[in-house]
Amino acid sequence: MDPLVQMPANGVSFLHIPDDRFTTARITVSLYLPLREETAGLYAVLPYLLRRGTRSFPTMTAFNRELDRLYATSISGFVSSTGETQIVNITAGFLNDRYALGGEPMAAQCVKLLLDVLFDPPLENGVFREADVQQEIRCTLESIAAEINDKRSYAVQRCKRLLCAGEPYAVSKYGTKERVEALTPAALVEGWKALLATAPVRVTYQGSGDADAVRDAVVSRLGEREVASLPPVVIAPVKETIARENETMDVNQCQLVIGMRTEATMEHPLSDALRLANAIFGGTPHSFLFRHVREEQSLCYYCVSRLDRQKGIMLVESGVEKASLEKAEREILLQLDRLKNGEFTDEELENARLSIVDSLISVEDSASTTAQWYFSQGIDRARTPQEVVAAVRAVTREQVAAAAQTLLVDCVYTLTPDAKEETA
Amino acid sequence: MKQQTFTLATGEQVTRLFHPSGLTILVYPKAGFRSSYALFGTRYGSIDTTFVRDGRRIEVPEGIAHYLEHKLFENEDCDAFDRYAKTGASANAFTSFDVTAYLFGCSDNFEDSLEILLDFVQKPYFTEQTVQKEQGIIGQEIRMGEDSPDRRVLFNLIRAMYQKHPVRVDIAGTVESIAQITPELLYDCYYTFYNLHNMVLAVCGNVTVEGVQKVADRVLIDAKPLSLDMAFPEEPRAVGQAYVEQVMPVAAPLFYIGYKCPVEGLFLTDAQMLACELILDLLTGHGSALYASLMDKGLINDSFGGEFFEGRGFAMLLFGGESRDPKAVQAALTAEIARLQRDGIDEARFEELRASLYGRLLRRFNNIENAASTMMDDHFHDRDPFGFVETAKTLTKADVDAVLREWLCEEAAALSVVRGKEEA
Repeated sequence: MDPLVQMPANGVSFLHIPDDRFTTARITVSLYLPLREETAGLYAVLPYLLRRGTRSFPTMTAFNRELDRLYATSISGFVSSTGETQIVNITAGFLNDRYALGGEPMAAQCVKLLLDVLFDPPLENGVFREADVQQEIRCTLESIAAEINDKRSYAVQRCKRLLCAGEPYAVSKYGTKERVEALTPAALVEGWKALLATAPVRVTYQGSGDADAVRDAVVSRLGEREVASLPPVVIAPVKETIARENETMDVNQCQLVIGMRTEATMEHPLSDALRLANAIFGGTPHSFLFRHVREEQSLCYYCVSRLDRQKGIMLVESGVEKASLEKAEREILLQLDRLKNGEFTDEELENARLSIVDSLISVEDSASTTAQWYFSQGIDRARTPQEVVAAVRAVTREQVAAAAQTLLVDCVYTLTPDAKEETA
Repeated sequence: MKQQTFTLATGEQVTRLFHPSGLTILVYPKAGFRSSYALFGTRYGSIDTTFVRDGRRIEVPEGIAHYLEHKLFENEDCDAFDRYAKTGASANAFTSFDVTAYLFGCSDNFEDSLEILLDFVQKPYFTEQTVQKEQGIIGQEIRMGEDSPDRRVLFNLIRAMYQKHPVRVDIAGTVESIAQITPELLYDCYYTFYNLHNMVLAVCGNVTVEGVQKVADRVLIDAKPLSLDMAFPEEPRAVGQAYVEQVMPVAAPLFYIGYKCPVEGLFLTDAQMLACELILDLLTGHGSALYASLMDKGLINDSFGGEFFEGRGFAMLLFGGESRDPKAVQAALTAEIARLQRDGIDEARFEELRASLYGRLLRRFNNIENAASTMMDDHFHDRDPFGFVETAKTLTKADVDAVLREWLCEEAAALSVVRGKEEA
């Protein structure tokens, strides 16, 4: 079941994951571009605009009725980001032929629909239709505004902005309100053409059908291209003193997010050791943070650490009472010191290793986690879960402590109740 | 041991074992999978706040089922998470309105982890001190819920719709109600509901019937037959409140429109449940005329969607999303429902939606977590595992028109809104 990576054309990477265990197959076309404040808004709107229809099915209603008829084939467009790369994705998920009630061939029809969405939108006078554009701009602006609704993820976003101010990483995958508002049908069509002409592309096919046919169909639609390269991620030093930002809102619970940097990114020799350090510190229900901050001190319901190895960032997130904020921060930093000093038992190390290896082996049993696994590596890499298992098994306790020592605290973001709420 | 075998639409088989201990066990082996998933659940949730035990009528504080779920992880001599740490499994638990379930996923050491699961859930250990310790943790979980507008808008709706049924009470309870919980009350609940006759084990993935049976034989302790009074007060057809609103920090108003379904006995039939699913797609799917029209008017965005939600003695159709004018969305939805009640569903549209429903149901086999959850739900709803796939093939337009005409009436509808301060 090993995945096969091919480079069938300049700037096109085709990843085939042969799999016949599922009732459905899936194809994703991902186009990679640098995450930039100037263009993020445009490329956030574009995939949603594209998945509204095709020249053959030009209205959203007609297009989606066709998908219903094809047993709930899903064709979705969405934007994501990894490290400092923004990714425009169009994906199709469809039933394998053997489940079609009328015996109709599914793959060929669905691949054509997917490619029509990407290459053959219903244009008017050479540009996207004004009404469609206005609707998608409105939806993206509403998504940007709604970032405030979920307090935990809002706090994480704010901490990332404080941590990486001025770096592309701080740019939201939706871009800014101002840039999105200023978009026009002409600008969007230019952006779409530029994307198809220059972006590195990863095509992922998960299924047991004719992979060559899928590959050739995409490559022929892309044609000859001059492909742009992606800039490397910015690795910056930590601030001289720990930056603090507090925001108040009409909330009951405080959000505490501690931002750290590490030089141990994907290519760094300690990168896999850092996975283990993260698991010991705050990645499992037997981690330092869970046991000491939650279970022993009863300070919170969640206290976890999350690692972004693309960018070299670790965040600790917790939700606590206002009176416990300082105590929780102190306790988290104390646990970080213990980790750096190598104050973990062999059993704690082995438990963390077991937990990571176990979840790595599970990755390929779900189409979506498999897709996520390869997707987050960018287009040049396709390291298998098994390769990482071997690497994690080889990590020593000294390497874990050394990886932990690369973690440097940069900033602390807190969201606390309004003054009014405190006296209430 | 009595057992039954079910052949699924995929050709795979599910075995149902009636274990002498009293437990029903569902085993779904998946060829080619490395990982496994197990759910050990009891027919007991937040709605079970009054019950009869040894002739005594007991009333317990709101939120106790969830509290019990947290506390069961601690046995007298150790913590279940510490035991799982040695197998590498990733464990968790959840409490819903009518079910509490303990679960784990793993790649290796399945039988060891299964033994831990079956063992710790059978060994309650509650003391003043351990019960006290959880107040801080669950207190923060409740605060987190209070700050979640998505959760508030849904729970407010259910409370507005239901006048008598205890589904109107929040699953986690309140900081005040959980303060009344004692070890004695937890034992009362435990010995009433955690009886193997009232429970199910559902496993899926890299498992065998023999392997599961071997662990069950070793670990399960025979339970006495149980008769539980599961009746709930009769719920009037009409909602309690047609409109409910809360002010919270959100970007644009969030809303849920709910229709309360009449439930004869405890559950709907398969055909009624599927008719509800199809109606939701008919009204909210991207292929629906209503969706296109609400989008054109700027009244909804991508977050608009429908959900069918049911449990012991309750069932509802939910329509939710974000809108600058939720009342206008409700008016449009009501008008479209009236039109469909008058004209019935278009025949061609019905066929498209039935194909779509069938396609969506087939996706439930793909993922071991979903498959095990589906088996557990089916069991608790007195349905055969995955029986609904066959029902979907034979569902008629008349089934759907009947639900549309008889259930979606105005007296059974309510609207819940969460809006920001400035709009209130």
